[in-house]
Amino acid sequence: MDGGKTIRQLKKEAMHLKIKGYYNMRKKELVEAISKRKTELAKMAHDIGNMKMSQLRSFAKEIGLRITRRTTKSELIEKISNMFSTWEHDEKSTKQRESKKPSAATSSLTKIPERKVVKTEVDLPKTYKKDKLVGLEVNTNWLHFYWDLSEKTRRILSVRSPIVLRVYDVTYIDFNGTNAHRTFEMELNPNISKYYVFVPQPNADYLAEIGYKDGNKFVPLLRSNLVTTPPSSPRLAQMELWMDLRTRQKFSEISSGKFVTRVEKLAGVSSMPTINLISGGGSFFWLSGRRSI
Amino acid sequence: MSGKIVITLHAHLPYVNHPDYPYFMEENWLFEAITETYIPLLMAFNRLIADGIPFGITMSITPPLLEMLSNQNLKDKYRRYLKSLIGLAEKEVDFTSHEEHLKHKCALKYLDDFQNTLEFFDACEGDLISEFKKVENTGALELITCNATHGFLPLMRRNPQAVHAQIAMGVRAFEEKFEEHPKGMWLAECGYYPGLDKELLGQDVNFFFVDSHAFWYADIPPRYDVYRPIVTPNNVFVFARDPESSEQVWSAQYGYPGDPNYREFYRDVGFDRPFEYVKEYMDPAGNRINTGIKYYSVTGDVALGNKKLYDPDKGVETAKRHAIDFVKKKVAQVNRLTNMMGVEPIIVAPFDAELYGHWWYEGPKFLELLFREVAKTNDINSSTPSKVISSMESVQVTTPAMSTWGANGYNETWLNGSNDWIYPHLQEAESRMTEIATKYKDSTDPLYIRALNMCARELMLAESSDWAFIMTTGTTVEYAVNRTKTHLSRFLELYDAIKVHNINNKVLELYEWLDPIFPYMDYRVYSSKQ
Repeated sequence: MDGGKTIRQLKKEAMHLKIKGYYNMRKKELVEAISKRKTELAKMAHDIGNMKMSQLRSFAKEIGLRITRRTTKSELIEKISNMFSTWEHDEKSTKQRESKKPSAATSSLTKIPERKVVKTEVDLPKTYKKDKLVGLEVNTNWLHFYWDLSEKTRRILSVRSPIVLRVYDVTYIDFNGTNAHRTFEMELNPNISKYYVFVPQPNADYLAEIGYKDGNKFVPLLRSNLVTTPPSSPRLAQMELWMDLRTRQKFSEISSGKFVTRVEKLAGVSSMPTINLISGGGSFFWLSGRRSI
Repeated sequence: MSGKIVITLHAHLPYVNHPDYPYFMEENWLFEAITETYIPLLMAFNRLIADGIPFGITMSITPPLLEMLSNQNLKDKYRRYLKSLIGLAEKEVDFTSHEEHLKHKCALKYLDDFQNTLEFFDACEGDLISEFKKVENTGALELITCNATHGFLPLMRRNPQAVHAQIAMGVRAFEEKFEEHPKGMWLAECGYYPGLDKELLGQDVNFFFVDSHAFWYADIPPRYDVYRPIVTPNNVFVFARDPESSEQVWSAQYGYPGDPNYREFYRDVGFDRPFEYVKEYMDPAGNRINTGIKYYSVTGDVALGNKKLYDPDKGVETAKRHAIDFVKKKVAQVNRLTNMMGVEPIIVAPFDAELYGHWWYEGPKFLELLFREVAKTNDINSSTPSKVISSMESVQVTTPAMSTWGANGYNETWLNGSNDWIYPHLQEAESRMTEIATKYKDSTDPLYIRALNMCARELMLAESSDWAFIMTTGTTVEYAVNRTKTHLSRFLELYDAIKVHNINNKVLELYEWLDPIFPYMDYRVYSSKQ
């Protein structure tokens, strides 16, 4: 929803809003980026009443408002609120103009979808109608599972509830269905076909099963491949193995410890985040598994 | 005692070739990289050789890039592109004569550079591959390959035949284009997992590269951290990235390319000039695009509109200052490490080649000046992996840990909510490919052989890690989604046709024309070895 602005005007606006990389954006991308940025700022603006002068100043700078040293606090608040009402006005007039052609485009001050929907002419099959449960490593603590079902399994599951996903820690185990170190379970929304799960242990072997609960009994229908989380810390070793490159002979040596002392990066924050953060070390949110496909 | 530095440039672009369109925006990726990176690097190497400066550098030139560099359609389009760019530069020389002096100075430099580029391109008849080979023949450059279409192997390991095919075709493509066997392989995105070395051994690949944490978390910790190569239990040598060198160049905060004197990437006449004026150099669809003519400097942390004009002389001076600084830091690092290790440290510094020139305009000059500085000191010398290996008497045996050089070190760049939908399709296609390749292993019917080879090409093109990467980063997503879907659906169509014995020759011909990568494809690399 560009309000009929030219690409030049949009760029200027994007520049004022300090949108990164606006120079390389196409019109559609610009409109989206501006809209997204305005939403972020609008959220922040709800708080202007409680802001300190220094916060107000930097916020004004963020949204490209010109201020002088003499601008007072109340003037600043007024200027900022005026700025947002202009945006809202722009938004409304654009809506009126475009009311005849409903579109999925985003309104800058309302909720916007996370990712744009990309349309292509080619469609791939939604299912290959085979029983399949596949595990993939994301990183040291996250695994991804996706699955596909045969008609028969789909029918069985359609009359069963709850459907569950089980993940087993089977490190160094020849798994027989009951001998896992640890067993994790969650109920699945029957409409999804992929999920990301957090697992506690790096450098461990996991596998998953999908099935249903019959009372207290778990009835597995699909089993995944083995998934191994990568290690995340140095290991200890008493012995080193070496090879003489002239003779190609391998020989052992007692490890004499580290020759190179390495200082690792320390990560931290000044205060622990309190809201909306997933616990357990994931470095980003995975939402796809929670939506129906 | 001295130390060695192994500078490695990974040159890669996804296979983008649209013979069915006279103009295709994404083909410019290649054209820009040729003008700004590949030819400037070759020119820098040639100057060093002409001046008798000894140097050692490693380059992986990926099979898709080799295929594009030798594709006649793309060569013709590139020449047209460059001629048109020269036209724009001429126009700019004219236009800037009424503008600031620095702009005019830049415009003259661009015109001169582009003309030299064209001259270089024509002098070698557009055969840049042979130019790289010539540099290799002097001993200064070691060329290595990459897995076939830059497929991301850690997420492909459930289909071992697909991994095998990526490795085998990576070797084959290199042999076709360079007429020699590659001693080393760059694994796409440094994507490695224990066991992959066996596949490399099977293709007679002697070494590969990993990110630092592959060594840090190896099953037996390497005695010398990342500063000596190791061998895997399958006798393949592994070199690990030195985090310090990467940070000096890459780091957003302290990295060299962010210096205020360097050229700013995001101010381009393609966006700065009135549209009518640059129209004939833009995407015919009406979108503005980068031209490569840029007049502004990084300046500092200011809005794009407040950037200062770029002075090319200052750019080169800064590159020289950085080259001296880099060598000074490497010498200090080598001395520090030598004291701790008691043996010669090997510092491995791998980078994306396109960083040099395309993104960091002065990058190729920096590299050239760096080698000139290194030649002046006895404390370090630049070397290549094969030379390092042959200089070693013993080597530690250990298994590196699964790792990549992506954000946070593992797979999340290529597997997240934006791109996870591709894996069910890719993995289905991979297992179907093995199924039909095994079934028709001994086929002699030319039509079937062609159809099976085309299936393998479509699958490999869909497997390029670039598409998942682009979906994550969020620019040109539509193109990446389209490419993934297009190759997969062509694969499925051909697979069905083979299964029901109804191969349409016309359709097959069309696909062979549209996606002519690897004319020497042999689908049997996918058949299961039983």
